[in-house]
Amino acid sequence: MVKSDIIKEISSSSVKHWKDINLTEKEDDKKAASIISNIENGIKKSKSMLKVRDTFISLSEITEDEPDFKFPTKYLDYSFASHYNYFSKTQKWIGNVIEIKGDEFTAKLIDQTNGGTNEIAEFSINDVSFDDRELLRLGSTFYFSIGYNSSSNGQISKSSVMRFQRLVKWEESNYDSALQAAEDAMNNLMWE
Amino acid sequence: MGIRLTALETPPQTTQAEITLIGTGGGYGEACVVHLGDDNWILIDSCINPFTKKPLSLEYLESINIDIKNKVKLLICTHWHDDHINGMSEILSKAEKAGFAIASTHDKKKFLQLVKLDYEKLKAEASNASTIEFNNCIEILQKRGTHIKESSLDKLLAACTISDTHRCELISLSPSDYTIHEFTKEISSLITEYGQPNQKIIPKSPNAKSVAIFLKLGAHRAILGSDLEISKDPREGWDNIINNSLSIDKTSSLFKIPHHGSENGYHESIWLKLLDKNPISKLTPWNKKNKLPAPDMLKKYLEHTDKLYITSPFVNLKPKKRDKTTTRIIKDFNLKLSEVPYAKGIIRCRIDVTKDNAVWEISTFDSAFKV
Repeated sequence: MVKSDIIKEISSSSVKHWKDINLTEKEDDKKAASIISNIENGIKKSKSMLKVRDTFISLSEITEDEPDFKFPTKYLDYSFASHYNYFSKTQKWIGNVIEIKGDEFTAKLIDQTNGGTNEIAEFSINDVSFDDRELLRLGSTFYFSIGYNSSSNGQISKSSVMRFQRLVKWEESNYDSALQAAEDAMNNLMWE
Repeated sequence: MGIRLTALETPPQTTQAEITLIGTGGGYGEACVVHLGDDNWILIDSCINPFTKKPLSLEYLESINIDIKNKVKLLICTHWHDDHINGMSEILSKAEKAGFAIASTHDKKKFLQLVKLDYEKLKAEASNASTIEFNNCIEILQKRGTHIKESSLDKLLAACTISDTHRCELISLSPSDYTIHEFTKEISSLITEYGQPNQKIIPKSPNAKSVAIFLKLGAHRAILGSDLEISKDPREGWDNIINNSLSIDKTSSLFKIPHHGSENGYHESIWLKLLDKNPISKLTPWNKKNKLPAPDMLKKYLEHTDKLYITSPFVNLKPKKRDKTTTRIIKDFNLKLSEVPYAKGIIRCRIDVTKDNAVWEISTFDSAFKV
């Protein structure tokens, strides 16, 4: 859709909204342009957040079908990020559960931010969300990060996120692919 | 003007055998570099520098100016543990003339199926690092058409003759036939109970399948214990070797203590029947949540020898150094994080295989020291 059409669309819908404010037509256009600029910034912010969503933002907050852009309705919403929390990553790890004892577990953490040496961490089962607890097993993989959480109203808070690797539904083709690879290896490898 | 080599950079002489143990401080694995003599190099296991991700065996060979491409004749994978296999595929890719040896399996097809199924988990980042490395090694071997040697009791894996008269051999001592048989059953259950795609495979007691090695170096003998443990069943582990090995013809003057000096790796009969009195002994520590060797085990080893070497000392686990912001947040959340420290240590032993009364020359580098 062309920008001028967008302005017309917004203008017509905003007429009603702004009718009580007695704006002139020119002022109305200016307002619409300002709104578009805010919307464009909102889109840019959403897109950058979508790039990092896989790991650090709850999948329940974002869906594949979520449209990138919504025309503003009668009550204009300037903040596109209103239902996303922006998480500024300070440190992230991939963890692997190596021991479970009672309601505590130990994990090996691989530093994803700085690399280098690994760490051993002890967690309580209470650190794990209820949704993820069934995934907590010896050998399970999880993503763990800590940082600052910036909410839509500007509040900054310290936050940690632990997300266990979600179940990947295996297709028959996955098994076939692996077994075929094994067959090929068996045929091509030479054993003494 | 010639280049002066440091002690570490000096390669062995043609008639010198070498057994070099490389440790990483107890958290990133161990590897062994063996020179049979006459530029016949064998690498046993692999570990990496966590910062450079480079295999330490390659680093060492490069430091003594060895032609890795042509002079590494064999790469041995002693068992399926991350800390013994990290970086192995990189070594294999560079050592173009090297053969490859692993513990024997009866049902190779099933074993390969397990490897490939676990490799599929790569997408979920839950694959064992060992499976990824092993899979990469398989692909290299497939392309090259290199034969895979299978280790078991009394299997000759490598040999050469030095100065036309002195024979040097590398012989595997394990796994036993019984262990191989049991592993075949275990593979079946690992495949059956394959678990969720986001879960790592956890093989049971991979140490029982470890490949221990016996070296004949002219008149001298050495045993490299890998991570082989004692077992309740005399058909497995060290009991099987002590009772049934036909290749061990003499006691050894050098011993690489198995499994970080743990109680599970200690068998008094090894010291009484397989080793000289007061042999040179070396080990790598384990320095994560638990520490090995335990003080009482260290004491036990010192009762058997006063020539005990370790690749690095224990270090108290501390939090990793980070910027102030992150450190503050970690503290605010009361997170219990301990860094797994990296400390490279090398214990190098060389002996002239052409001289029957030669003694081992022992050198320690970086963190390694004599206890």
